[in-house]
Amino acid sequence: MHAQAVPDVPSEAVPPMLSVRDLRTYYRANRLGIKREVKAVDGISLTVRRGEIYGLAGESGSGKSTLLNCVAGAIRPPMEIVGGDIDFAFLSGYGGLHRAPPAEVARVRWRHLSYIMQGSMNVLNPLRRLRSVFVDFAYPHVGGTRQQFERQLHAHLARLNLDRSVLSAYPHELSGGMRQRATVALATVCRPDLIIADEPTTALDVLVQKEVLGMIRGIQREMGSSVLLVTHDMGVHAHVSDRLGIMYAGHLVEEAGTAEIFRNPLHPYTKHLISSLPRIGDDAPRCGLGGAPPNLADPPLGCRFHPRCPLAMKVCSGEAPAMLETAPGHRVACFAYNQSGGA
Amino acid sequence: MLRIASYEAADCGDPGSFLRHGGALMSGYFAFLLRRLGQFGLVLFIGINVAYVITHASPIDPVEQSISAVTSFGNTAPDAVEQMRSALRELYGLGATPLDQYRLFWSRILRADFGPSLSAFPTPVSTLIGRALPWTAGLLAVSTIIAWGLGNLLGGLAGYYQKSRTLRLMGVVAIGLHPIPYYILALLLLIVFGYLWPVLPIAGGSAMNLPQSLTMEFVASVLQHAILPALSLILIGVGSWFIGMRSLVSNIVTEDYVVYAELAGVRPWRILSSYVMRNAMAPQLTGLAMSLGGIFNGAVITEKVFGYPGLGSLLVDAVYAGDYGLVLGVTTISIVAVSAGVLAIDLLYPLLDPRVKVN
Amino acid sequence: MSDLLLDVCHVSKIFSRGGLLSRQRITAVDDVSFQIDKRRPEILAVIGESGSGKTTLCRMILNLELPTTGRLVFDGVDLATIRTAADRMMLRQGVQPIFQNPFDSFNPMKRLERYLFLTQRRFLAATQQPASSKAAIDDALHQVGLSLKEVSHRYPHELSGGQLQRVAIARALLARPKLIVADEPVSMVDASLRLSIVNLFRTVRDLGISIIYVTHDLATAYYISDRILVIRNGSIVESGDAKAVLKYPQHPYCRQLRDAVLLPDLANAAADVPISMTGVKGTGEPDRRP
Ligand SMILES: Nc1ncnc2c1ncn2[C@@H]1O[C@H](COP(=O)(O)OP(=O)(O)OP(=O)(O)O)[C@@H](O)[C@H]1O
Ligand SMILES: Nc1ncnc2c1ncn2[C@@H]1O[C@H](COP(=O)(O)OP(=O)(O)OP(=O)(O)O)[C@@H](O)[C@H]1O
Ligand code: SF4
Ligand SMILES: [Mg+2]
Ligand SMILES: [Mg+2]
Repeated sequence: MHAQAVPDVPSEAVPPMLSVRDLRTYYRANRLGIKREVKAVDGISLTVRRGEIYGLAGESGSGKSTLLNCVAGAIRPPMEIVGGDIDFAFLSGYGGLHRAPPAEVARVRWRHLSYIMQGSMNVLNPLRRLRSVFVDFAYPHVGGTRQQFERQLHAHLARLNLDRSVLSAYPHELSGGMRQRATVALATVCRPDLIIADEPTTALDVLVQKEVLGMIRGIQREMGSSVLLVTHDMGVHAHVSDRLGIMYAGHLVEEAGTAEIFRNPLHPYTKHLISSLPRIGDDAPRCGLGGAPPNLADPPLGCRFHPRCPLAMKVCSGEAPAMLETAPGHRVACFAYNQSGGA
Repeated sequence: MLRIASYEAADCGDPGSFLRHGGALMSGYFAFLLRRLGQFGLVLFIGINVAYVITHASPIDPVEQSISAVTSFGNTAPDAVEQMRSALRELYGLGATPLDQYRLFWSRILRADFGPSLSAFPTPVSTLIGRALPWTAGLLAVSTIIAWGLGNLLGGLAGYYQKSRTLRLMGVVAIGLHPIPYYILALLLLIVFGYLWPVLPIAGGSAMNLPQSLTMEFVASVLQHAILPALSLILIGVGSWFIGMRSLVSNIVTEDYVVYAELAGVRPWRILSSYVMRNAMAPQLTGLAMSLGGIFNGAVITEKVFGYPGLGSLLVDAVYAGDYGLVLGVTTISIVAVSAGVLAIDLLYPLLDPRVKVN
Repeated sequence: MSDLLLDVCHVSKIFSRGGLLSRQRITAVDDVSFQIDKRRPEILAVIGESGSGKTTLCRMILNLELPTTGRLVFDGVDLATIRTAADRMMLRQGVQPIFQNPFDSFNPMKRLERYLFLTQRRFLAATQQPASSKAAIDDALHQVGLSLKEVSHRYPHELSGGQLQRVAIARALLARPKLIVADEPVSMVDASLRLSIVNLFRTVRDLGISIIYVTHDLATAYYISDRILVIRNGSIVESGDAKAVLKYPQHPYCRQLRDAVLLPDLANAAADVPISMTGVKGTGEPDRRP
């Protein structure tokens, strides 16, 4: 399938579209003298290749949105990038948008890099009709006459199964799914090199979802763009992502080609994630992961999954496992798999 | 900001905070307009009636008051006095039954006729009001609007560019100015520019010796006289609008739609105008309509301090003179103004914020 | 008094939108009827097209929106007759909402535990001591996989979407309502948590609380619901036993929906996402002009 379309070994000649190296992002609050530090992203490295859809899944609160915010340069207090570098194919040498000069940032935004925020049905100005929003966001990058732009918009909206009449609506006059599609349209109409999408299809029915994902893949194929896609829907990952990273408690715990992850999940959390999904026609009772989700202000020592892990060993509570390759392109952070400190 | 259908509201079961939003059918807006106009009429009717009752309940008899005013100048034949009394009673409609009096009152009100003034007999009240109104409206309305515009612009900028030194300094000044009682500031201005460094006139609406006509000289004099009172009003007004707008805007800039527009590289001035200021405008315009309606209340102090010939001065003089026709006239005007202000807000709001449903 | 907890009777809702000149009328909900029996608490799944009127229907049941035509009766009370704040309080006690978007529904300036204490106080004030109210809140939070300690002193934006939604569910449970209207409550949480939450719904139903569960996730709808309504274009196209409808859908739209579910395995190429190159599809938005 399409997972094979992308070579597993990155070619030396082509630099990756995005590379994140050892990123650490904390939320630091100091309220009434009590310091809190939420280590939402704690040492993540990953690369997104050209023309690739990189999927990210993981527990709620594991830091996926935080990671995406860092990449997109949406850094507001109390969020702080404590360490690490982010490099893009179209903007390198600065170590991330947050360190690049404003002119450079303005150059790449939306033309090269667009972002679909989490809660995308809720990011539209409530007092502005959609047409004006499209003009604000995309027209400066698209150019041409207004009529041309309008025609382009109509075609683009139709790809997302939206009627052109939504352009004259205010956001509150649309359903959640229509707003979400409008945001997706905003972020894709300029056909950027890298699309960062945080749960872009949560409010869509399965038919429309398919069309939206098809559109994103269409752009990705046409333009050779890359997509960094976060979603909780493992079905979407199975069908859309080329590679998949699994996050747990601020760490990347496993990464491999999508097919490989579904065929051969290694990390106990990944295993649970894949096996726990209910299906139509399957009446077996299932349950969520036992135990409490980790508190990132005070994460468990060692492997952060160890309080809930069925395979936990002694070493797990003392040392943190490193992300090591078990097979070409398959990395996992778990002592159960050829780690020097473990079994 | 508007939180639509929030858990807060779910807790209270309160319809108001659930801000119903949705499709305002255009016909719905007309129905709403009519309903609001009806309400406006009702409020006016009740307000004027209350003013009527209060002024009529006052122990001062206007007729006796006028007669004593006239007779105090010298001896008048008792006959003449009696004649005058009956003429006056007829003029004020006091001879008739209370019901007829009341009817007469309304038929006059509808023609904007409040009868003759007592303290400036026989000039009609409406003429007096007509003479004073432009002064008040000109001075107060213009300075309120200037203060509003300036305060909102600067406050909006200060909320948006939170790092700017100049704007921060302005904030400090505004906050410092804000708690000073108005009359102290006004007196301070008078002392500074009227006595210590007497460059500006300290009283009146224009130079005494000029005829009130549209000559350059007269206009210049009016403007010159307006500087101090206007400055006092603007200084105080700008401060409070500045503070209000700055906090409004600093909340709005953290809203997702502003953050998202910034991430998308929308031009800063566009974000400032159409995402930030525009969204703060609805509440701020409400405030403006309210304070425009209320300028006649504010007029009293300003006009007294600066000896300005407006409605405020007129009202104060009328109260001292027991001129109840004039009091009633001025009160009616301010009731009309305040309810017109409220009406304007009600009619404007659904147009400013499409989420507010008109029923 | 009837045995119906909720009676939705030929309800329609018409909106109009667009500019001043080009206004168009949209039938968001079109003659929808269904009932929920008081004696048999159930989980009623509502699925269907995006923009088909599910949220509007929920808002009408919550009395946030009045139907253009038709009648809604909750527990013997016609919602159209609700006027006073006291009536509304009664309704709120009976029906609790869980909204689609957790970010939108919490005031960003207010600490989360304030919501919980407020709900606790509003709806159960007479019966509970302060100490036990804390315990009850902690309990409700534990049911959704959180704890009071974790939530205390946090503002909404300090939690992730999933965590926030769990707080919302805990809040609704605190009021001990008869009906919970949950509009896409799990669309923002991870698969494992999604399961814990829908399992929680089942527990809640066994406590005697009915749940209207609006979702796009057919798998969880199949997994927990007793009955299902499939809505398209504002009207119900198919309804009945959830398992039967989802396993053997009759209406072509339901069949299409079921077949479009992206399964988390790599085998079913038939359901694969098409790559839309040229884009323009024939389907478009269904025309809503009358
Ligand atoms: N402003 C903030 N202050 C403090 N902590 C925060 C803040 N924002 C997020 N967090 C914490 O950071 C962690 C990561 O949050 P993030 O939103 O990145 O999670 P996520 O993986 O996107 O989850 P979800 O799938 O539920 O959206 C969470 O534990 C959250 O509580
Ligand atoms: N306030 C409003 N004004 C005008 N039209 C509205 C309004 N609210 C909803 N609509 C329209 O009504 C239709 C139904 O919307 P609704 O939000 O109920 O859909 P939904 O089924 O919840 O969709 P989704 O699954 O995408 O959330 C949509 O076409 C929407 O545009
Ligand atoms: S390192 Fe240990 S605790 Fe962590 S996932 Fe592997 S086996 Fe489980
Ligand atoms: Mg997230
Ligand atoms: Mg909806």
